[in-house]
Amino acid sequence: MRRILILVCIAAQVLVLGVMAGEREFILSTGERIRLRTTPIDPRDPFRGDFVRLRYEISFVALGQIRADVRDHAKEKGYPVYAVLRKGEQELYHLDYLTDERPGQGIYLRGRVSNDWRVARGGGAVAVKYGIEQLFVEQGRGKDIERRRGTRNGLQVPMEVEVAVSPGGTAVIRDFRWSGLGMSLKMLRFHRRNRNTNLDEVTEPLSPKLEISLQNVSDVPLMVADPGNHCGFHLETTVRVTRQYRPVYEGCRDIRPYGDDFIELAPGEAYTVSLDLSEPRWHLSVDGHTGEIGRYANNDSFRIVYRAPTPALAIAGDRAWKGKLPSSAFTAFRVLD
Amino acid sequence: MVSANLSETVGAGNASSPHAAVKCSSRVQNPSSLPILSIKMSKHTRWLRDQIGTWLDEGLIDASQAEILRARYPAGDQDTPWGRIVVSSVGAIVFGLGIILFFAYNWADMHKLTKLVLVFGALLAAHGTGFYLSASADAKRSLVESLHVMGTMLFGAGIWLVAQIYHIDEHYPNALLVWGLGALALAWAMPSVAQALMAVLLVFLWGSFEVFDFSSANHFGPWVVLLGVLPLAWMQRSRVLLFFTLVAFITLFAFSAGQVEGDLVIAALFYLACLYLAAGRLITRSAFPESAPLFTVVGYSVYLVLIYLFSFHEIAGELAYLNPEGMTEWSYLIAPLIASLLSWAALLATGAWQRADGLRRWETGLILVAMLLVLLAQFGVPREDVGIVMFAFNLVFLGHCIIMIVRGTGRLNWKQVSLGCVLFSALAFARFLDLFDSLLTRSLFFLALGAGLFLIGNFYSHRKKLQGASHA
Repeated sequence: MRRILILVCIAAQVLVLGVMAGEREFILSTGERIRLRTTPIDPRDPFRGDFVRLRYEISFVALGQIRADVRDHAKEKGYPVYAVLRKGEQELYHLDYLTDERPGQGIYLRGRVSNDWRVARGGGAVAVKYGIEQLFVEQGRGKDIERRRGTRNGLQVPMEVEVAVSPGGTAVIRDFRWSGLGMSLKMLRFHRRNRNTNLDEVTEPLSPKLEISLQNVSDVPLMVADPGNHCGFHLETTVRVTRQYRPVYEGCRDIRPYGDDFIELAPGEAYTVSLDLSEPRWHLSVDGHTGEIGRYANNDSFRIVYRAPTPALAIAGDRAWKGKLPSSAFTAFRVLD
Repeated sequence: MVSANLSETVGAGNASSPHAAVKCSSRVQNPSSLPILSIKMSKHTRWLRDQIGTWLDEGLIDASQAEILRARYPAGDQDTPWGRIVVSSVGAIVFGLGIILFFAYNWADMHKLTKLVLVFGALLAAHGTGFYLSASADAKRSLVESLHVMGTMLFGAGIWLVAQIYHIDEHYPNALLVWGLGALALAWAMPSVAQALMAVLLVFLWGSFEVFDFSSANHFGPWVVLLGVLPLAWMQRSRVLLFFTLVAFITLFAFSAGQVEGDLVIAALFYLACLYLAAGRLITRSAFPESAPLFTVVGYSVYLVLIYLFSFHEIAGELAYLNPEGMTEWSYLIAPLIASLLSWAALLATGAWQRADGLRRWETGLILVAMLLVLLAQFGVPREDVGIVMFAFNLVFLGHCIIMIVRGTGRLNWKQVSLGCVLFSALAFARFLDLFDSLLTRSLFFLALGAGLFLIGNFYSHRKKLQGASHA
């Protein structure tokens, strides 16, 4: 009898590992395949070798994209949530909304609230982990991935991870690829300040001047478009920002690219623009004030987002780079990541 | 050092040894302290047995008396092969780590299925070999156990390696729980103390990570340890396992209580410590009396620290301001309180109080007074009057110090005397900082304290000389 019990216990240990592996194999072979954009960071585990920690676009969810009771549990680490996704350009999926009620249909990922310090500090978003934040790679390859991903002041190339999703929302990483287009951001000018600075007495521009580059990092030519007064680029707040900003510039409304607005980039070639955020083109309204971010944004953080005018780029066929590409985050006086 | 001292404090006085049934014609030791000695003297028993042989040769005792003495001081479990256990365990752990690191390289050329085959193969090979050898009549139990321990190590490694293969980044404490339950199941099936020790460690880590990394009260962790491991430790008569079980239970309970409501920790710990102290006294009459000192050592350590803390106004005040809100919060207070009260009621009902010697009675009385004081602070005394309770805690702590010193001096136990002096000095220094401002008073205080310790030391030396002279 005792020997039978021992056998049962051993079988249970084998079964646990079998279920772990079998469930993932089943999801890999039968699950819906989607792609998610992510930023890789490269730590190293002393026992498990190199792994790339992945921070997805959907890892931080703005409070405006939250439904049900998630807001009440935003700081409760481990609280189960579901990220409902919608398909975008280039097979990439983006967050539609976050809920704690299991959706009846559509593609969604099951996750848990985490207490990431970046969110805890700002309080304007919910940090979520989906169980796919680690990509284990052969020893030495972690550094290669980090190099390709780029640095704060250099070119940054997003990684696009392919995952298989089960009907219950469990995701398993299948593979990854690199975006064909990378972006770099340099702060050419910014106004140094401290808490005693009286902004009304400052005569020079308060907002930074940025140099943005879009670089083709693929092996084939790519086409981007930047019509009008750099209407391909948009100034957006990060998910951590709680205040509601609204662009006031009307010149980009309903604009369509023509002729020289289309830029074809050969492999390795870059399209560089200089954006002076103190100009009216970039003014925003917030809390009843309208003006440049250098005056009203305090420590709020922003990104420059390149959005491809998809319908207009249809003429370029496969050469057109579609979708949106965010820059590093920055405040009025420094680059953040 | 604390454990060595306290283990003698506990059992002496009210216990009867399992070997007490053996009638001895020559009284060589106070019978009241026999149970403790039978446990503590494992390293001296060999010497004593040699001496019995010499006395027999010299005609000081006859063969029947020698036999009685040998029966009275059994070898016990002193032959525990610690060297082999440690080496085998370290070997199993290092081997498991080697396997993990082998896969950590994460060979890109190695197919996923090959990795899985290796993970499962290693697990099955370790357990399978152990299982196969266990069927053989002349199989070494330690080898079989080592192989199964290695198998369970590989099971844990397998959880992390499968997670690596499939890039799984889940709620990692769950892996520790699953691993721990795997070890616990085998611990019962075999039965195996080594597997159970692994289970205690893993469940402890599970509970701790839930609390400290996820700020989540782990209500089940302490009970998995208590209900899952303690009966096994009892059945296997394993003091090592029992010790770690007792420590893990009280620690996990405190962690979870602290997570539920920080103020609950000291009260929950206090009642659990009192429960351990009562259990230590009750168990001296059980089938496993050797376990009594473990309950008492753990209980006393926590109890004395808490009584010392309660001698400070701020911490005694914490008791008065305790105000649990929901059922969960109340359960962390009420469950240890009821268990503690019931165990002490059972102890008093057995009549142990009447059989104990004078010091033992004082000690028991002080513990009961301390329990009453905590109850008063929590439920009886107005918050503004908590200073009275704090003053009483000072007296209780002082009482324990004096009992330790008197008992240690009486038994010529320098460890117990030293511990009593250290605790007394700690109390004296704490009150010195609180009460005396004048440099003159401070100097007199130091003189009085130094003189007191000097006198104790001299008295102890005097007693020791007297005993040496009487032996000569």
